[in-house]
Amino acid sequence: MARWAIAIHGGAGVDPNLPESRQDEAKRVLARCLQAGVDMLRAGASALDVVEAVVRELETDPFFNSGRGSALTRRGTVEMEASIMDGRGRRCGAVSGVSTVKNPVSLARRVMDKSPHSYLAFEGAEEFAREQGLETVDNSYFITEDNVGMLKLAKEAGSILFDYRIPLAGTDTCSALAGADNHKGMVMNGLPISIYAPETVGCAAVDSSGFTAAATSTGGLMNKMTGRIGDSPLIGSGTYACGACAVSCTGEGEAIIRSTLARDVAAVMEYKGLPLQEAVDYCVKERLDEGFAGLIAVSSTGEVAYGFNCTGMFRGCATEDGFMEVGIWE
Amino acid sequence: MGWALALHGGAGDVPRTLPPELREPRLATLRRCLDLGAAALRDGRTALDVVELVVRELEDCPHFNAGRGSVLTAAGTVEMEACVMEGATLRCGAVSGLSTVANAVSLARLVMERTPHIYLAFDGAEAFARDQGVETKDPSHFITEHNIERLRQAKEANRVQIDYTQPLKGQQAQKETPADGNSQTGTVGCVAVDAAGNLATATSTGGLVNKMAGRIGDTPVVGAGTYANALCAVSATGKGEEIIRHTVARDVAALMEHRGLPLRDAAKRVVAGAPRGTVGLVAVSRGGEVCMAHNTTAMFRACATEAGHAEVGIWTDAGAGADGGESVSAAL
Repeated sequence: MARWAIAIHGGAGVDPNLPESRQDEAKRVLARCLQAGVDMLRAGASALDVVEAVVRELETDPFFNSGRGSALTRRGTVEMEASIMDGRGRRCGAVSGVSTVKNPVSLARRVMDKSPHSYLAFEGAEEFAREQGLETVDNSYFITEDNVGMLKLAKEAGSILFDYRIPLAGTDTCSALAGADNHKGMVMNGLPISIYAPETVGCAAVDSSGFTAAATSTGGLMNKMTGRIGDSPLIGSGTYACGACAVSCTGEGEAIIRSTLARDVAAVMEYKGLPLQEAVDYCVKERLDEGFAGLIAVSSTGEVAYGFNCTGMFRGCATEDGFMEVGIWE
Repeated sequence: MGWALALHGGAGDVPRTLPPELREPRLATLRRCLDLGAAALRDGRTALDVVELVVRELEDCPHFNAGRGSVLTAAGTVEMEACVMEGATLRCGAVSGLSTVANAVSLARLVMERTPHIYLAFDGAEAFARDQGVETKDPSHFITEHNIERLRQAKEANRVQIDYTQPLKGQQAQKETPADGNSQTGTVGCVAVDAAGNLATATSTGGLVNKMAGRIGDTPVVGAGTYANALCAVSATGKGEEIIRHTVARDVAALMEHRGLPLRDAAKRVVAGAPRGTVGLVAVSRGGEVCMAHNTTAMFRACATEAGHAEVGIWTDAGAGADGGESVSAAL
């Protein structure tokens, strides 16, 4: 009998000046969703069912940038994306450009289970959701007042339209200033950290049969171009699961894609023979070029691990032997 | 060392009885594109320019499933996708759901070079194409008689052509050969290493006959159909869903990077690890090694190296290894 384990995240790259009340709220949501997953695993649910259920909870809570509470495109609309992967048989499903489906992660699962394809996007994905009878809501359901305000600030900051690899004048990037007194110039994904909506959500789990699964869901970048696809729906980048481990990533999507970060954690375990935490550390250190990101992971033997190279990651993890943790900072 | 390039026009189970009118134009295009790419490398063009140039030519050829000649969705439309990646910088760009852009690969390059993003799709990608002023065509430009007939046959056979994982209820698992023997093939791709050792890859496709609208395959997914890093450049083709779950292109690079395998061994292992009949790939290493491997009965392919090796082929001669067709050349 293997040991179950679960890890969740609500995004990497947290404003160090995030008010205490928001920090507490984040931890409350994380703890609640983590506990839901733990209860299911204790009751013998499969890792696949657990990651879907936990991500649904995270999507439904408006705190994080997925489902309700998703970041807005330049046009002020919501375009969500999600993916799910079953380590058993490496089956996978993904969706992008979803605008009315209440829980994109469940649509990704339907793509995996009920379609001959692995990835559906935009109108085709919406059409499939209707065929499958998934719950849909008006696009306005996903739009929160907070995010309308953030979009306005993002537009004023004039960022994202430009190459975010070039720091804004007189500023520096995320990790360089971590812990410094003045975080005002911190930039992530082209956005000042105070506006940046990092809160992509994800879950990785291994059940007591030793099967792994991972799922990731996001509204993407605040002020993104319509049609922009990030790392979350890309198998091997934002999400990956196999016989060795399950991984969900978050952060600067483009950096995660270039490094195929989620697959690389598994590849380092498979091909270099490193244990989970060392594989995570290696990938965060060696594989992320100038980008900022974080990830959570579980191994098929019931270990949990996480890593990030920027200021904070909303996260939680628990294992069968009683370890449980919810945190934001290092 | 030295430059090298390899290109493909899709992998699949193509019968050797493929009629000359379907065979010859493709072989001629492969030869022409190989010469074009080799000449550009000899002239000192960068690997990135060369893969774009070659894939544009392949897109313009109506006999391959990319650009003009793209296969049709269940709705009878074209939805093209493409990806480009540069090894040294890991910069990449991808597009999906294009219906009017003449050369999807060039739009992928513009996404890479002129947006903060990597991947744009559907209406947003089309809007970006218009912003950038790239050449667009009426959707009818891409649709050939041949593909209208293919779609008709696919619909008549009442089969989702790619549903190889889960047979529809009441049907046997179908491994039938599509009517014209090659409906599943035709994605195009090119990999190159230039004389300075820069690596690049590009892949472009119309996807699958009778695909659901909105379906994204492996081609634009970085790490699945397309990947390049400082060690190698890879372009894969075949059954997209298998290529995605096996992260085929990235895994060739990962085996070189994390396990220290040479290109040929890495490529063979990845292709052998996928179900038979599903994957083909072309790859070049920084050192100028070329590998074209597939576990299908055929792959439309061509390669050339600075050292003078050149080949163009479809099937693999009997006597090839148990892991299917494979042809390798190492420039010494």
